[in-house]
Amino acid sequence: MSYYLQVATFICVSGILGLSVYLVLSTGQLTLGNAGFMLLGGYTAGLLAIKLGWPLWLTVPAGGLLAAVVAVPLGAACLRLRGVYLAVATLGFTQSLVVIANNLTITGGALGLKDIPNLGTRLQRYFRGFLAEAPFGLTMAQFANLVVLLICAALLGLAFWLIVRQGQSRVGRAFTAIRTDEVAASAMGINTTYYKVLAFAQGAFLAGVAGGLMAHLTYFIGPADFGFSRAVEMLVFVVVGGTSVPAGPVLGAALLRTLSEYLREAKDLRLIIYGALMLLMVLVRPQGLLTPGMFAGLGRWWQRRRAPGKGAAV
Amino acid sequence: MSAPDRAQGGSHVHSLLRVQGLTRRFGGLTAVADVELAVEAGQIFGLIGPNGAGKTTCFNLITGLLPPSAGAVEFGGRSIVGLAPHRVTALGMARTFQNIRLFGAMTARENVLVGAHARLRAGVFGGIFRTPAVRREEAAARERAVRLLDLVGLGDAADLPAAGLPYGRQRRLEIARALATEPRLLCLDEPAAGMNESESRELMDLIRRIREQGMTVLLIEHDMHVVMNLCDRVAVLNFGQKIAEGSPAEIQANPAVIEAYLGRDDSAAD
Amino acid sequence: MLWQQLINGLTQGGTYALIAIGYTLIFGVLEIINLAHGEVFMVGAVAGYALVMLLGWGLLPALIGGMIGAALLGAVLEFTALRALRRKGVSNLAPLISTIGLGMVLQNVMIRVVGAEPLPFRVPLAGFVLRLGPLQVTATQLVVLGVSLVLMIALQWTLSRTGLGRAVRAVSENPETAALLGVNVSGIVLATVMLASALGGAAGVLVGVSFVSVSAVMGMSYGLKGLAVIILGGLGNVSGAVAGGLLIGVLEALTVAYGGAFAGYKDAVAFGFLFLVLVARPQGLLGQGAAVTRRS
Repeated sequence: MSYYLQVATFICVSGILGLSVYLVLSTGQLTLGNAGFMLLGGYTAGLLAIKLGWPLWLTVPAGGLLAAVVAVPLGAACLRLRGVYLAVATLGFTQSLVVIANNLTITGGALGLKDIPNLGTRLQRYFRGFLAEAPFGLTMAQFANLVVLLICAALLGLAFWLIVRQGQSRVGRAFTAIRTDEVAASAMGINTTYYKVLAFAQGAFLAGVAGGLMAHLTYFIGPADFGFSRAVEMLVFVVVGGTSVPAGPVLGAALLRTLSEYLREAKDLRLIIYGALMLLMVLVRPQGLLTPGMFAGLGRWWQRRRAPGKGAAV
Repeated sequence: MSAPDRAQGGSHVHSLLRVQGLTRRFGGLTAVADVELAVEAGQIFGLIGPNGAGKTTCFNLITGLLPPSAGAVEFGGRSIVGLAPHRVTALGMARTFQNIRLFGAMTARENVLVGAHARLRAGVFGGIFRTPAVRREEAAARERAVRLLDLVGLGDAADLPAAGLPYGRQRRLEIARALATEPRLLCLDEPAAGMNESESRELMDLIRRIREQGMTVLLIEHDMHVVMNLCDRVAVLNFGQKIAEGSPAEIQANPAVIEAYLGRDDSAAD
Repeated sequence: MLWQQLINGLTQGGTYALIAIGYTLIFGVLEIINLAHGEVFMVGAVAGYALVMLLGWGLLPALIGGMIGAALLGAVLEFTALRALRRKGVSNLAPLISTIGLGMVLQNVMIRVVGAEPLPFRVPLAGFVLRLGPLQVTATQLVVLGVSLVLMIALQWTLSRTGLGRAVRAVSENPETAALLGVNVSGIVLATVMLASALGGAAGVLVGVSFVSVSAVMGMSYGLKGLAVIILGGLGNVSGAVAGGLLIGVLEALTVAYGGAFAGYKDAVAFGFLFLVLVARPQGLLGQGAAVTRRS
């Protein structure tokens, strides 16, 4: 029971990571820097909780905010770089942060941060304060894990909702325009610098939040959690799930996380499958499993259902 | 906005667009050399010349997509050299592209809404939470988008993806998108390219209607028929240099222009 | 001591340069970055290891064997992850993703085969040390430096003097024109990818020799270093790759020797430096084609 709750919780965190890459990609920028922002968020949250005793509802957003603040100058500096160059520069950022985390004393070096206050444990202690017994016939630990899952699911839902709403607005149109044709977008009056840095910082914020969640879900984080492999993993979620609809990365995270739980014993087999999937998706279905066309069809159906008389006219 | 300006047409001090000494070099090649242009408010101004004469480069320099190597560009009395393209657009200059550059996956309506970007205000917060002000703004913008699509004859295609439209309709959608930026000066890069005769006649009507709404039009065109019927004034580029300027009749009689086009049937080219 | 560090740095830098040349050759003809290159390097290293340690070959035949193995892998790469993406309308990000994917497959298949632990790679060179006053040059260093130099010179000669080289240069200048001039573009691309992979494989064997071990996971860090090097040197620029490789090698050696508390940051040198260069001079140290004007 607790195991399934945990898997579902990690799917939610992965979904947030997928969305963080999706956001940046929605302005046509391929970033491998979000693993670095995740590291920033994770260590920030962990250290604030350990050293300063901040409550967890503050440490997680603080990690996200720090990541976003760092992302603004980084994004602006990388702005002139396109495609390949941007991917490599942001990978350089990630790798540099990993080396730094590996060497600083405060981050615990290669051993990482230990004894990070755990969200589930905290909740359990909190519930015991006023509940004699967990509801629904669950044990207190299971109930706490369920609440953890609900919190992470709510955060994923919130991030998803924000991205969908933003996507339907003037800002979202600017993102799509830049992604499609940056020159034409700027000729249409869009400040491409502003929107690219905006997307970069928003993605960093989500990655930072996910890092903070990760820190408080696992007791322990180390530099090895946030390197190239992590950067690629997030990218796989998007590539498999769908690169141009927000539901894509969430689906990708859910599918691949579930798959990796089945292959838990064989990490290398899991990565072989990840790799093969990336290759295959690019070759056969470059937009990913979910495409905007599917959602346009769904939208039309929904409109017809809501207004049966008007449906024919459209 | 530009209707009063129009009354002053002819006065050089108030030219809507004034280009002086405009030069652009690529490595050793000079694509545009020392070009002078003065477009008066309310004009339809044609920029013609053989293939590779530097017309599109000229457009890119004027609209800020390329920085000039030398020269001045003044728009509405203000220097716009070095301004980012989106700032130039915000000042009231809009353009279309020779090799149509629509946002293919977006619908026609969305393309026009992108054009309206600089005239709308909704930010991240307003866009996400749809404040009353943003709702009003968006509704007005959508209504205006439909009007613009109607103007160019695409009223029936509002919800179709731009990439799926036939070529001639894509060209007209680009014009609608440019109009959505609410320009004073509309720059059209070969709007009639690839159109048949009836389509290009409709296009000429459209451009005249646009001018009647108070806009100034600067157009690059290959189709001599369109240029001669439409333009008030024409400048001719050859090898990056301006070799002639005048009324369509003057241009047709100009020996230098005939020389530049010698042996070519440019009304059929492209 | 400074001279000693320079020699150590140059030896290391020579292998970086070989890896970087592989990236840069492929970028030259295809304008893509092959993110599987680090794994091709690793496969070359393990192949060399297997030939020496399991079959008892000498170092030179094993080096050639490693290069051939890597070149064949290069052909696999071209046919699976690259060729199909060279059609119109495919995002330029697609080959990045496909080569990352293939790289992951290669690395983890190798982990399944030989495990993730380092494998001891001893060639009968170890122990021999040349002393020049206070300087010590090991036979391994001499071999690594020598072979790197020979390969780089051979490559330069191939590119500038042979018909193949001329064709490669024509394709990297402009594929359409090259095709019009009768160059078999697909064939040249295949040859370039195989050549680049062979150089990567050679670098793998050399790194294995100089660190006396190979492993299935060695491709990652070297692949990333090589990536930093080519961007430093300017994409598509062979001499830039050589200069960048040597520079990074020396800087790393100096960081370890004189960095004091910062010695542990050796692996951040390449990327930190890269980052600064990219921000200040996006075309790389020696590059002319700018990162900002490449079609995106």
